[in-house]
Amino acid sequence: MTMKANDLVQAVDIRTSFPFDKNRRVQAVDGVSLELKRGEIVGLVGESGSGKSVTSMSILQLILPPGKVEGEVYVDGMQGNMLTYGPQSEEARSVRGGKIGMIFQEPMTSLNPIHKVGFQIQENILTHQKVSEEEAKNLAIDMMRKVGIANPEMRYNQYPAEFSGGMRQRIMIAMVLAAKPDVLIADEATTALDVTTQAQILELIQNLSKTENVSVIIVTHNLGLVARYADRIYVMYGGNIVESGDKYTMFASPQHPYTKGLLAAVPRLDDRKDRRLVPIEGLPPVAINLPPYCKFYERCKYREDRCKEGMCPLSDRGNQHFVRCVLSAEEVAAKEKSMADDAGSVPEKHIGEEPILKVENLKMYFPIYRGVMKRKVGEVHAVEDVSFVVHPGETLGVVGESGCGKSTLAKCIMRAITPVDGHIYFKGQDIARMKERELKPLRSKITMIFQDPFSSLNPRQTAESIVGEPLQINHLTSSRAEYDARINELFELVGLDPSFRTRVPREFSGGQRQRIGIARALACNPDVMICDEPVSALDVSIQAQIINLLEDLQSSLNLAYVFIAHDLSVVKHISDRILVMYLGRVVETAPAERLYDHPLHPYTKALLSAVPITDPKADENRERIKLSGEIPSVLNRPSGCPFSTRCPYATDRCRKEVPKLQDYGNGQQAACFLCEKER
Amino acid sequence: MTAAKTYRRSGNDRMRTVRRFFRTMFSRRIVIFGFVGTMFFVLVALFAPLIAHQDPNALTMAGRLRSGSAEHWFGTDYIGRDLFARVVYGTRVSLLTGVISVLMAAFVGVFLGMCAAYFGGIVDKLLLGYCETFNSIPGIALCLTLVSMFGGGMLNMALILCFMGIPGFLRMMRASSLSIMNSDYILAERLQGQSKLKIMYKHILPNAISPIIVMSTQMIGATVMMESGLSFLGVGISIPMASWGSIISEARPYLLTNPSYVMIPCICLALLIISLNILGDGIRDALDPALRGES
Repeated sequence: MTMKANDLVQAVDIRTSFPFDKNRRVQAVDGVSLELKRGEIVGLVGESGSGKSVTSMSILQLILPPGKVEGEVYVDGMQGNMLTYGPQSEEARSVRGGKIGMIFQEPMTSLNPIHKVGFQIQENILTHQKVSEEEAKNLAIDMMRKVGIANPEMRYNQYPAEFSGGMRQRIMIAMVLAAKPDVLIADEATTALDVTTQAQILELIQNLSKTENVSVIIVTHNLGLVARYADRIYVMYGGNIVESGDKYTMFASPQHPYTKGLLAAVPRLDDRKDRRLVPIEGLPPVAINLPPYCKFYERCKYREDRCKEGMCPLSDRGNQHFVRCVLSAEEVAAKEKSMADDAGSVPEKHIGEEPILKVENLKMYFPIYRGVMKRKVGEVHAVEDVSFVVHPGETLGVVGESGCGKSTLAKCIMRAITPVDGHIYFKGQDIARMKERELKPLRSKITMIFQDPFSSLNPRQTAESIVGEPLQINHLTSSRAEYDARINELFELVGLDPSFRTRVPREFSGGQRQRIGIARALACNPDVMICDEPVSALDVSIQAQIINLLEDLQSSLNLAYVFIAHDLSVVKHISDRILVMYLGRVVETAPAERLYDHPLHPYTKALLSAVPITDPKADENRERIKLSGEIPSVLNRPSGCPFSTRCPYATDRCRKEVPKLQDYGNGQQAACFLCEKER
Repeated sequence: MTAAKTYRRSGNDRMRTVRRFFRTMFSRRIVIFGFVGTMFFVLVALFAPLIAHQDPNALTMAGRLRSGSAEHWFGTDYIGRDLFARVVYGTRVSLLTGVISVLMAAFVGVFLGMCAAYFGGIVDKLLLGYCETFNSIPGIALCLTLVSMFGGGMLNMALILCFMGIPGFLRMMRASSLSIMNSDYILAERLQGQSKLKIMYKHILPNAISPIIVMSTQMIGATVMMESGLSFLGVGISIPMASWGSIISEARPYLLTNPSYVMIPCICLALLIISLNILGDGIRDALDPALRGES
């Protein structure tokens, strides 16, 4: 088999398996073929367990025994099938890092902490190019400049610990590109970064792919990212490619039921307010018990008996658009029509008049101790002068990037910590400085849902006792029968089978665990629920289930939510009003729709434009504000407006004075001098 | 044994939990060996007078340093006492000083370690200070001092060895509790208004205990050796009394001429430690929810 003319990498029928037990092997990748042309950016999208990372690792022969890779990999400029050479061969090593470079997800661990960053880049140049050390150093400094690191001569001698996450990812890119590869694989390379930094890094990769003529494979779970940055997309599910094609054709007319499902499950920034997400039924695939036929069969809305007849091949639907589905586009469309649009819209809300939670001028500082005597040398201003109200039945969204104080704010409201100054009125009572004993009866009325469904449940408790614990603490039930009934009721409320009561958290999936967490928070009939990133650890199809559950619970129980997240599209979807925070301050607050249609603060605008929409056409027409630099550390916040160091419109006044929140009508408030002028 | 006992748990549930505990514990066959081995030594220690018919401290007619015979199974020691009886009675002393002192040390260490972690501040500082003081003094020197202050004998030995073992357990438990306390489920408990004491014994303790179990089994071996070292120096258990450690040190000069003399107590010691280690691993697995309920 020979390669097509302008293909750089061609993988044919890759099958990667790992031993599961004595007789069985897990087929993590089950016959994936893909090709990469010169200068092209390809997106490999899929949920966890879809085999997208294993595919990219198989191409690079990074799979160690007992894992086994079969198939063929052809790389431009190399003779024959790369897989026949073996992972440790000279050929494989010259491909790895030489022809194909890879950037990993975790910028904190992918650099060696005891070597200077410059040395690490230089080392990679020396391995793959025949140059002297002096030349290599110059090339390294050049490379650092190219990836946007200011003052590279000085930073060359710094250690990884002196760089922020985004900067380290830039160093990684510099390191990989220094070897002059033809292909760059970015495996979830921006997932751990903040949205604005993520946009910066991806834009950098996009530009470098043009200037350096490098092809890129973006491996990610985020549909929006590939919609914005990739040219061609492969969608993976259960170790198969289920759909591939040009991004415009694919997002305009997705044909595989899984792709359709994913797009319906993801909230979009430009959604109408009452759109209800359509989750994909069931759980993400587990590689050990995948059927020999269509992997998506179990969860597919359109499944038919003929789907089970065997694995169907990728069929060409024209325009280089390939779909692995027995049903034709017309058949799916007909079925879709016959199934009434059951998604409907979100249940109606009844927002009360009297605020249930009122936060006034809340301040939270943490002291910093230094030196031998542990003297207090300063304070971290984590939350600075935050005020808002929440009404019964309403959702207040809080967004911001890391370090903006949103989690500290949640902890203050929950009174896990005592705020330094300000008031938190719950039903008119100030709880900001209440003693633990007075607080105890109120604790059951303000509850919390945590981000990580794995660490927020005691691994040694049964589901029943996790959910029942608040009932016992507050002596809410008087008899065993009543207790049992209440637990069953709570399980059903969150969509769990009450017969799972005696299981321990390990026996549940991530989404189910989050449901247990929600049941625990609901146990005492709370009035306010603080949701701290409740869906960010979940797969997109599961995310939709949890968001829908939260919306249903809100309308039936008239709960007030404070919904904290960094994902603007999720926050916009679920919230009635949104609070945008930056470095501990509120920079803008507005009703969700208003904030999207008419943002005032430059930071809000930048944040909105950093979040891609899963529709490349619509996305390209949006106004884009690109930010330079990164969020300053909370330790040395700018003296004036917190955003002044990154704001493209900052004036001298911004750097000296702190702007106050001003009302701009329609419930919108912003803290910016520029908006004041425009008025 | 397992966590998550609610006060309303029915007897039936508890029976199932207990059964699941043992099933997981013995799911690796080797744990049965550890269990049987440990039980064997415990029984020997309990029924020593029934097993050994001769007086461990009486001189016999057979003469000194004899090899095994029908009358004296393991032969006789360097002054002509029956070695079998001495090893059997020695099991009592070694188990008592080794196992009991380690168990006591673990109990106290776990409690104090958890307090240090949970309350922090001055409590933490004082307890860590105590640990550091102990760690900075060589163990054997400290033991010698304490023994000469309070006198030897088995009870004193056990107490002193226990005292010596506490800092290790305290540090281990403190570290492991601190990592558990940072997890969200402890925060969730606090935010529900759960009392401190309940959080400590119901949530932190069962999750932080597994390294302690492994450490205990290893400490027992070290403690038995410590006791034998002290007995060798003549400040351990009082003289005619036998312990494995004292037999080993008595037998040392005859290592080349009469190897079985020194081998027998050594093998016993090794078997006990191996059994305890394997049993400890089994218990840890059974307590680990990730391994529990596989079948």
